[in-house]
Amino acid sequence: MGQLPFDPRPWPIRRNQALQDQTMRHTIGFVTRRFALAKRDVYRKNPAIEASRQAAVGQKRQAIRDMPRLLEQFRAQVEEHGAQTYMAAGAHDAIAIALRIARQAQAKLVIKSKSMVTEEIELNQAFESAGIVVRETDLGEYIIQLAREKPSHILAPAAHRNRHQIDELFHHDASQQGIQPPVSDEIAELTHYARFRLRQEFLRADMGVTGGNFLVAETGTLVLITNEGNADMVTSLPRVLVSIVGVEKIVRDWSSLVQIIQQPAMSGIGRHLSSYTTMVHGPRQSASAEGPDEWHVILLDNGRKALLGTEFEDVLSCIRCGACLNVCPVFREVGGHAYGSVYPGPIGIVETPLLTDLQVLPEIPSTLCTLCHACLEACPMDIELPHHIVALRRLKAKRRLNARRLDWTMRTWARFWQTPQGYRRSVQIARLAQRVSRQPRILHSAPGLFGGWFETRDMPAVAAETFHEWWPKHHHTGASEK
Amino acid sequence: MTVGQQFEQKWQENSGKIIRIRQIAELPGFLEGIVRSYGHHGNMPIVMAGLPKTWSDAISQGSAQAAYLWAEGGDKERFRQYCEGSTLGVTGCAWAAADAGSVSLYSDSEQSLLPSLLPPIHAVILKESQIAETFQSGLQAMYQHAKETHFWPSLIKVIAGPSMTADIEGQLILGVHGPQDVYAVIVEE
Repeated sequence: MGQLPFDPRPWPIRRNQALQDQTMRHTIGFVTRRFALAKRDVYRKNPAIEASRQAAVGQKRQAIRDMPRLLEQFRAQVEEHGAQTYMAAGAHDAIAIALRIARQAQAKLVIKSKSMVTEEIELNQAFESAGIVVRETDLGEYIIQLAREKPSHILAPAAHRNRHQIDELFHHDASQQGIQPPVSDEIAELTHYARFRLRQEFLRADMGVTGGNFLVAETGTLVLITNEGNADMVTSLPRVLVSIVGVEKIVRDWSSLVQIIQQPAMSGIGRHLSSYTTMVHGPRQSASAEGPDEWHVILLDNGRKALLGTEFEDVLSCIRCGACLNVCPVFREVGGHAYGSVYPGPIGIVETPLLTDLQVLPEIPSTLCTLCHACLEACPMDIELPHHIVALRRLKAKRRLNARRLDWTMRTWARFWQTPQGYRRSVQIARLAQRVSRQPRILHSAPGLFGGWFETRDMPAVAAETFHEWWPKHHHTGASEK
Repeated sequence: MTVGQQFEQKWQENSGKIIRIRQIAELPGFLEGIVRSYGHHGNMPIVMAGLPKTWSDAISQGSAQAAYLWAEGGDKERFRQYCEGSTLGVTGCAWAAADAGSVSLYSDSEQSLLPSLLPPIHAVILKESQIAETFQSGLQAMYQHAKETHFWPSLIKVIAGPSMTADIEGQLILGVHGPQDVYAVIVEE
């Protein structure tokens, strides 16, 4: 079973906080719509991509089934190139291995490129507790590191903060560092500050940490994709490099990589390629001007292998492009933090409970999905997200993980609506209830058990005469007139 | 549309800039112009790596600006310092792709990735014959070559545009960590 960090506050509190944060909602709305449109355009203009995508889906599914064997092949290959590899069963194991490497290397300053897996295992907190400074270098990650927050979007981690808030964070940082703060809160100036500030640390760092987009078993290749170029700094400059990668990133061979390598950029930001695609094969060859002297690859399980052979296996094909987030009507309204997990959006509400055997945030498949199926349409890897969300709801009911009150309500509701008579009786009860509560046209609240439903929704009142009640009267008359 | 024209179009769509030159003698003047317009304060305005000797000689001799070339057996610490202080990094490339508008660089004894990373401007010089029609076919050719020679470079970098971010309010900004300007200089053969 995997270990994942989570926000322990109840869902209604997370939801209300998200809905009141207008800055976040505006930016998330803007960013997600733009990404979704760009994706649609790139596929429309390049119809040949579709064949690659379909091939990639088939090959990736097979690679997941062959995962144990392919991981061994990958390890053998990169070790032949001079790297060290490790298997980490859980988050704690990965942290322990990374810390051991850092201590052996006497690392004092660690620079990181963007990695969801290191968010998952909370690497930064562990390193800081051990007295090692860790610097996030993706601009968005750097901002949320200063603000001590979690990412609100897989591709745009600081999408919930506006320029004024970021300017404040940078001013505070500059005064602590004793350096010149940003000249103004113009976005170009803020970016310039981050460039200058982080460049100094890129050049001083002893150790670099990356995640990974793909691992190629046949060739022992790690592929990293960024737009900022920070992964190139991290792989080129420090003397020790540690790459922490989820085991599901494996692909079988080079030709599988060729089919899948453009998918993250195409589906995530609507471009053929991101600005930088970096492939690492091993530590620095003696005559090269750059690259680490040591390369360590930590392969993280953390609940992933438990999904092999289950109906949820295809979830492991996720390439973290963020396409499902960008089209999700719920994500567009509440942003990433409301999910309470490092993995937000449709993939997050499936993956978070699955990786932890429903121990972490089991409520989110029920509360954060309308089953509109937009995510299924958007997912380049054809992951059956809505199907899994329903399956998780079923699993929760079976394992009695829902609150008793909710269970009772749903069972009672189901009992009424199983038969036409029951349905009609429920309508009569509802009509009586609305008369007693004096809400003739729209229901804004309900007593007791049903109150929660109305906290965020209204419901049209039951008509004075329903269609079912009207039909027998008029149908009879109509037939006799003929 | 030729492969070269398609590359030009895609490279520009990726916010890259294009220069075509007929002979290598035109190169130093053009590079000098870039450095002058950007401004320079250190003692090594231009750093170079992975260029054919005739090209790097032409740049060193033809330019009034000091230029340093990475060569096998060079002092990597000193080269890194030069790259950090320079305005313009000039490199060759292993191959380019027309459909993606990308160039690929390998880290090896002759080629360094640092001039494409640390200076604020990167110019990559290529011949039209180095451009593959598609990124996928370029990757396949690279694999074949690695298989035949039993050698994979430790680092391979594919560049498709300047360093960019939209992390603040979704607004696109160029030059966050790597170069803000990337020039592809196509040498006509």
